[in-house]
Parts: sequence; C-alpha cells; structure tokens
Amino acid sequence: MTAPGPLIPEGPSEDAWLDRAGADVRTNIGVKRARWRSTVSEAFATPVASVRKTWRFLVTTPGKMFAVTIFLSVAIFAAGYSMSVSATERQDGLDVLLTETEPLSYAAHNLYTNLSLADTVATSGFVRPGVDSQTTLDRYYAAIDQASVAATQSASGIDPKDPEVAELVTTIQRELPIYTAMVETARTNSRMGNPVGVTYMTNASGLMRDDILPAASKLFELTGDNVAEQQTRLTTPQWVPLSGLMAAVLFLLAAQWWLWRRTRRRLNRGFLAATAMMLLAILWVGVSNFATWQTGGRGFQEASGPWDSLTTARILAQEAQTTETLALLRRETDAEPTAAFDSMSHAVTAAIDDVEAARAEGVNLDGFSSPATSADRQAADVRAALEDWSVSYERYLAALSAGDYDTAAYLTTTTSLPPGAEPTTASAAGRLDNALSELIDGARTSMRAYIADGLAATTLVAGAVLLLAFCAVISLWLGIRSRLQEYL
Amino acid sequence: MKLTRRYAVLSTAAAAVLSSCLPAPQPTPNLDPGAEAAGINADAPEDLGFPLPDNSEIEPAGAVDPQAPDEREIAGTLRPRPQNLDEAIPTIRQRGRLIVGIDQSINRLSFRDPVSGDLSGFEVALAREIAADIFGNPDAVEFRYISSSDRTAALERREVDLIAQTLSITAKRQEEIQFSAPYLSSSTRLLVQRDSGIASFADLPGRRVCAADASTPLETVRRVAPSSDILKVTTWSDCLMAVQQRQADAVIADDAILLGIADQDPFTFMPDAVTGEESYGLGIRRSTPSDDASGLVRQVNWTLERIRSDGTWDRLYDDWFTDSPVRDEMPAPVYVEEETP
Repeated sequence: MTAPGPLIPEGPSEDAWLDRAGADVRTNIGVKRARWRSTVSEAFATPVASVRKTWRFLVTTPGKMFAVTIFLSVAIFAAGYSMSVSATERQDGLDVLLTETEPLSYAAHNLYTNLSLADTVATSGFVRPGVDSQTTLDRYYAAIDQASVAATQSASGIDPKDPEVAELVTTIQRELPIYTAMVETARTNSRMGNPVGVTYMTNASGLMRDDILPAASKLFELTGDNVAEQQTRLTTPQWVPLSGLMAAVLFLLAAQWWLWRRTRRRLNRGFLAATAMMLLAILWVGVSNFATWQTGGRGFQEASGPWDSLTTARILAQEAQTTETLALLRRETDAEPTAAFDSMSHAVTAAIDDVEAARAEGVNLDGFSSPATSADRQAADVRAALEDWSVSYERYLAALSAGDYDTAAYLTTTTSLPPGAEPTTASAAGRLDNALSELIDGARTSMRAYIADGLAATTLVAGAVLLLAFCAVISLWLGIRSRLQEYL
Repeated sequence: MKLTRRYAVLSTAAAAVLSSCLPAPQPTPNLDPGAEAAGINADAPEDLGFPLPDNSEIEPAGAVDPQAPDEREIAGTLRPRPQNLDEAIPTIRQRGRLIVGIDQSINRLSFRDPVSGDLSGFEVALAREIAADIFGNPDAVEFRYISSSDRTAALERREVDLIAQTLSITAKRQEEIQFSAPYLSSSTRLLVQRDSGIASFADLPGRRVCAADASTPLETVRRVAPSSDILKVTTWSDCLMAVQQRQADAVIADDAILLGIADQDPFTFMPDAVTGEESYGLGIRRSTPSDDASGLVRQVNWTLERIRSDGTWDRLYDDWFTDSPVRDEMPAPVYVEEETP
C-alpha cells in the first residue's frame, strides 16, 4: 500500500473555493506549496498516517503477537458467550417444558378423561330406573369439577401465537356450561316424570361426543406435540455453539504453534492455561449435553412411549364404556359398541405390552418410587380388569341380543358389587380406568423426573462457560505480556 | 405588554422542555379490538344456548314444494284367519320374542317411566297384546327405539318385526311396507307456547315450525304453512325441547303425539285448529317370494280384532286417552278381498 499523494494537483493553478477563508493567495509559490502541504495533511494525512503507523507496527513481530492475541480474545469470548447464551436458553427452555408445557399436556389429558367420565356417568343415570344415587352424583360432579379446573389450566397456557389451541379451549369453555345445563334440565324433567328428560340427555351427550370431546382430544394432541417438539429440541447436543468453542481451541493451538516458530519457546504458560480452560469448558458442556440427552432425551422417550399408548388406551376405554351405555339409552344394537370394545381391547393390550417391554429394559415407570414394582402390579391389574371386562361384555352382548335390557343395564351401570358377585362391565371398566390412571401418573412422574434430571445437568453450565472464557482471555494476555516485554 | 410577551416566550420554552421530557407519542393502539384478548375470539357465536336437536335440520320456507294430497285409495289389509303360528311366523316363534320398534319418549304412546324404568304407553301395551297372542306371554317382546325417519328402513333391514310408532297408513308408504288394520285415529293439530300468539294455522307464516322428519305431519306443514321455516327432527320429543328452548314456535303433529308432549309442559297448549284425519297402523315388512310376511300381518290383525271385540281396546283408550280429543273409537278395518282357501 502506498501513501496517497495530495489529491489536489500542485502548481500555480488555484481553486479559490478550496482555500480557507481569509487565506492570502498572493504569496509566492514556495510559501503556497507549504501551505498546501499543511492543508492536505491536516485534512487527510492524520488518519492515513495512523493507519500507516499501525500497519507498520502490525507487521513487526510484537505487532503480530498483539494482533493474534486480540483475535484470539475475541474468538474465545464470542464462543464462550454464545455457548453461555445457548446454555441459558436451554436451561430456561427445559424449565418451561417442566413447569408449563408438560403440565398443559397433562391438563389436556385430565380434561378429556373427566369430560368423558362425566358423560358416561350422566348417561348411565338415564339407563337405570330411579334417580341418581349419591355415588353417581358425586362421581358426576367430581368429573365436571376436575374438567373445569383442567380447562382453566389449559386456558392459562394459551399462547396468542397459537390460535388453534385458543380456539379449542374456547370451544370447550363455551360448551361445557351448556352441557351441564342440558344435563340438569334432563335430570329435573326426569324427576318430574317427563320423558323429555331422556331427549335432553341424549342431546347433551351428542353435544359432548360431537363437539366437546373432539376439541379436547385435539387439544391433547396439540399439547402433546408441543411437549415432544420442545423435548427433542432441548435435548439434542448443542452442536453450533460447541463447534464455536472447538474453533476457538483450534485457533489457540495454531497461535501457539506460530508463537513457537517465532519465539522458539515451545510453551507459553498463559496460552496453555487458556487452552486448558477452553478444553475444560468443552468437556463441561459435553458432559452436560450428554447427561441431558441421556436423561431428558433417551430416558424421557423410553418413558413417554408407554405414556402415549396408556393415554390412548384410557381414552378408548372411556369411549367404549360410553358407547355401551349409549347403546342402551338409545336401544340400538348395531355394530358400533363391538367396534369400540375391540379397538379399546387392542389399545389396552398394546399399552400394557409397552409398559412391560419398557420395564424389562429397566425404564422407570413408577415416578422413581421405591421399590419400583408398582408399575408391574398395576399392569397386572389392567390385564385382569380387561379380562373381566371381556367376560362381562360377552354377557352384555348376549343380554342385548336376547332383548334383555334390564340385565344389560345392570351390567353397564353397576359399579360397586357385593363381594363374590360376577364382575359387571361397569365395575371392570372402573378398575381398568383406575389402574390405567395410576400407570399414567407413574409414567408421567418418571417423564418429569427425567426432564428434571436433564435440567439439573444444565445448571451452572452457562455461568461456568462464561467464566472459563473470561479467565482464558485474561491468561492469554498474561501469557503474551512477557513475550511482548522482550521487545520493549 | 412586554411582560406578557416574556411570559409567553417562557411558557413556550417550558412547554418545549416539558414535552421533550414526556415520552414520544406511541403509535395509536387499537382502541376497538372487540373483547379480543390473548388471541381468543370473544364474539358471541350465532347459535347461543342449547344446540339444535341432534341430527336436526332447518328447511327454509318453500325449499320443498308441498306434494299434492295423495288421492290414491288406501289398500286393504289381510283378513285374519286361524293359522299354525310355527308355520305362519317361524322366525319370531323360534326367536321366542317379538321385536317392536317404538318411539323413545312420547307420553301416552310409548315412553320409559322415569320412576320405574319400565316402558309404558298405548303402543307398548298394544305390542304386549300381540306378543300375548303369539307366545301366551305379554312380556315376550323386545322394544327398540327407532327414529322417526328410519321407521320403514328399519323394517326393510329386518331390525324389527313390527313398527308401532304412530305410523299413518298412506298409499305412498304402502309402496314400501305392509300395514295392519288401523288401531287409532288421529288428526293433525298444532302445539304452541301460551305466549306465542299463535291460535291457528293462519298465524304460522314467518314462524318456525317443528315436525319429525319423514312423517305425514311434515307434509302437512309444507302444505298449510308454506312460508314457515321447518325444523326437521328425528323424534317428536326433540320438538318439545326445541319449543322449550325457543328454537321453534310451534309443533305440527298428530293429536295423540301432541297430547303426550303437552302433558310434559304446562306452558304449552293445543289451539283449536284441526286438519286432516289419519289412522295409525302397525308397520310390517313387505312380503317377498322368499320371505312371506303375510302370516305376521294376519296374526297382528287377529289380535286387533280380538282387542276390538273383548273390550281391551276400550280399556287401553281409557288408560291413556280419557278426556282427550283423540277419537274414542277404533277405526274400522278394510280387508282385501281374497278367495277363501
């Protein structure tokens, strides 16, 4: 690079407009020229000179050292900072997953199951003669209460950016009061001896099955997708910031090699310390990443497989029970209840197979309670209840095809049996639901524990990486200081 | 004067200083966002309140042209004669019970007593009489709820042996199914809420009328109230619900049905307007070469003749229709002329 010459041609020709105000132009050429020089250098030469000066310094060995150290400092700090930001984001993300996203998905599951339970209980009251017992009323109101709470929990998690969830929750919140109003109108009419009560009940059930439950089911699906998506995103290794850290280490090593070539001193203590610190940072991040992936990722997924199939099975079991009851209320004997029962039966068997496979692989499904065998016991309970349901369902079908609605009604609505009595579909379904619900809670607690472990593994990472990067920069400068002093 | 100007200058300066301290004006917020918050649409839906009855449909006024009244002669039914039941109705005898399609909840005709849980009503009792004559046991009968629009189809699907569900005998239906002799006469009437201001068919234009789909009253509505929207429902008690929820202003149906509806709501009444008289018969599937249903028709008519002559019909009428506008006389049967075998 050559120094730029004066931009304005020297010589007698003069441009008055470039002259400074009040300058005397009638002086001799020599003075004029000096004047020009000073003017130009005033205007341009200072930055040019400083650049030139800096350049001259930089091409010297100490200058190069200085430059390299600046570059390394920036690289290390940038890598450390971005790693730290990314780790903070991950920690926050896992925290959100644990405290917001996953609870919302669980609330959506509770919402669906309680709505479905409320409808089954309310409908069964119209299949039995007489008015609802205390137990039936308690079950109905408890289900409605839990459904309302779950709907409110779901509403609290509405993200304005997610209009679909907002719409679904709004639909449920709008129609649930209508549903309960219809059920109460049905009950009152029934008590007055007005057959229109049955009409109100079938229409209420239609509202539940056609509008409310599909919305709840969709909501559960969406919130479940959110959990899966966040969980996957938050537990994959942080490759990009990790590669930044690795690049910083590579630069450090290259700089040391160059320093060795230049100074013939192989090891610089400061640079060495900086390298060690950066390696420590990589190790820390790597171990943390691995731990998060191992628990929050793999462990979570192993526990979430059974959770998915268990929740599906529970929903289908409730559908099958409602279908049974509705078939009685409407006195329909089409193929629908059989289809619902069959798909429920398959789903429950598949879910229990999943649970047992996961247990065989040592996945914890008991929410880490000890001894970890309650899942095995509950799985056995589910199988036994399903077996009882199948047997009593055969009796129910036989009663239906014989036109014996009284027996069929007894089977579908009797939940508490005297000891030694043959199981009814309602009692078996109740036991199945309880056992499934315990399994689901266990799997859920385990899933949350896995996420919590993943979260614990991210603790301190952000701060530690930032601190290590900072210390690495300091030691760089301490290390290069002695080399630079050799030139002073 | 000078002083004033100085103050003016000062105050302007002060205002300038003050305004520079105040935050810069923000973009005007949307002052009319409705009640929308957090992405939730707060606009009220169009159908507030209870939803319309399941599977119901609103037929706009004049959407379906009323059919000209069917002038065809109604064909007669088969004359009862002594027969060997195991040969005449083998399927039913082997099954050991009769399957009868009824309406789910029409007071007086067929409904489930909410207290006892038992089915009762005129049509239920009639079905029990038929079962008693076939099996010697009035309880050898299974009742299924059939929606109004599904009555003839349920017979064709062999889902039920008989339909005892306010099925009017018409020449059009005789193209699809067979009928027994008539068991009850009915005329078409109105049911409204007391505050509706409807007193006759003439008050119907512009009001919404409820009727069960595929029923003869639905045809009547199209004819007598061509400028009324029609709410078509699957069972008659849906109409009571619709009236109670102000989704319909009036119900047009047979008096026997309307009586059962009016019973359940003291705020409804039946104005003194009557149109058309029909007779209910029990619906039976049509005979095909491979599946002869004539034995069942004769058996049912045999029971109808019996209850006419032994006073059972009068007892049933008294049980369910005392002091009502329903005609207290069993309609006379019309039998087809057959060669005596």
